[in-house]
Amino acid sequence: MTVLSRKQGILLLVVAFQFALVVIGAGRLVYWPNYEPVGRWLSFYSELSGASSGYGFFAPGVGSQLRARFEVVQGDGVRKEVSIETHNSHESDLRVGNIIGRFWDEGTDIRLKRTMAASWAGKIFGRHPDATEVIVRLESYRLVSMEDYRNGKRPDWEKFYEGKFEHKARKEKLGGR
Amino acid sequence: MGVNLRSLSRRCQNALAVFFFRPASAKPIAALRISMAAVLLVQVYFLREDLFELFGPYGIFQESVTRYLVDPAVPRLPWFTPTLASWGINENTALMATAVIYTVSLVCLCLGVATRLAAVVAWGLHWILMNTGLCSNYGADVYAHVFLFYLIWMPSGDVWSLDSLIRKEKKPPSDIARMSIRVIQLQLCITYFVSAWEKAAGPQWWSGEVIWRALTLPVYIQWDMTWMAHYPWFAKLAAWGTLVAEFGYALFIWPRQTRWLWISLMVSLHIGIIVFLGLGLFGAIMTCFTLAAFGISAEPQPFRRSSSVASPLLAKTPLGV
Repeated sequence: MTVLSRKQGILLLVVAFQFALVVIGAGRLVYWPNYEPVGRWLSFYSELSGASSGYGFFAPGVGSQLRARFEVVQGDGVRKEVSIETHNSHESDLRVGNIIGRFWDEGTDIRLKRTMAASWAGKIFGRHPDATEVIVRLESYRLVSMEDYRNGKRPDWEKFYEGKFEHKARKEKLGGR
Repeated sequence: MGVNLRSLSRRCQNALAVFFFRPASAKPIAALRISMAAVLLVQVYFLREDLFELFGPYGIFQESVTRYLVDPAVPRLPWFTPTLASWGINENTALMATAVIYTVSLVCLCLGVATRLAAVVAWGLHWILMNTGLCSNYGADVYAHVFLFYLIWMPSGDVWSLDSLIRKEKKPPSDIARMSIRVIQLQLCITYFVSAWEKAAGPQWWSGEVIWRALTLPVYIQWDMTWMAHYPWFAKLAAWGTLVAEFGYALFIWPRQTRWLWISLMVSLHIGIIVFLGLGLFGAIMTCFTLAAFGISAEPQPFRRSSSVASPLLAKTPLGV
């Protein structure tokens, strides 16, 4: 009577289970932590198998872009603008862009944003041993629609966040000279 | 009634058996293994100089910040730091060692050396690196994670591998190979459908504005595409074309008559993503998936078909895939 072997039947069940999780994960249909204790394991399995992945790339639309600019103030007062991207490869810069973009994702959590900016400033201090101050500026790109572009409007960058960070030890060292 | 139900059950089982378990060559899975590993090796090459910046505890996104954003249940390199420190291995050495072992596992996966083990190691380390450099991930990483996980369970080393050369004995077409191919194909169908569904929910995709915005956003600019503002129908055509290609994937990639048309559409779409948005690795990995899953025949060679034709599972499906 049966066409499928026992092994094949079990395999089909496993595949059905996996795809059920894929659909749930892709559609963000279930928030697993609400279903403890099984939810914790399903959440973990979904993470490790990739079943929790979303696929809404460029969906529902393309938002703006955030860029970070860093102004370094040296001990002698000279100012220069530097970038946090290493420009070693496009792939690498793309990833740094994603990191900067996280600043947006954190919404209104000012403390976390300040911590992020401080972390990037720390990175710049590390790269520039002569820097005593780093001003972190985040700017968002104001896109214009095709119609507005035809009517003469042009996209530009607008200030989104600014924070100034001092390297006290370096400043004190300079002051002591 | 009972007879009808039994007959229906038998017909369903037969259909499932033919679709999922008709013996198949492992070539499509091998193609996926080789091409994905090659793309990931290129990625390693591009990121080699920025390993510590992107994944290190004192990188651009420092560990002190990252730990507030990640799911504490998923493995990350800092998980192992205390243990490794007790062995005298610092964080940077651990990261470098992880990257080296990951690269070796990708080389082994590409060549088909200890294929199954290589898949396990590549998947595990890729996942750890993804979770460690969480904030820098994007689509290429998401897809690689999913398909590396599948490769652990699939007989991807049965053909086109050094393992199969060393073994000398050729592995015959198998039901597991067919099942594996179906999993890859269904995964792609689901992901493209979901992707199209989410896109269709946004007005930008219906007006074509999304294409304009993507092409003029500084992070993606490869060419000056501002001329498109004077031809909005062009942007609309590109957006609608993407929706049609992605929505239609789950339907038109299966029949023989439309399969190559859809493969061509998807390859064109991803080449477009590479050329116009600069997302080289994402475009390349997606192209590899569709070509491997649907562009390479899984049918056993003719001389084999005659020897195993007795199996009812070798009957051709109407879809012919």
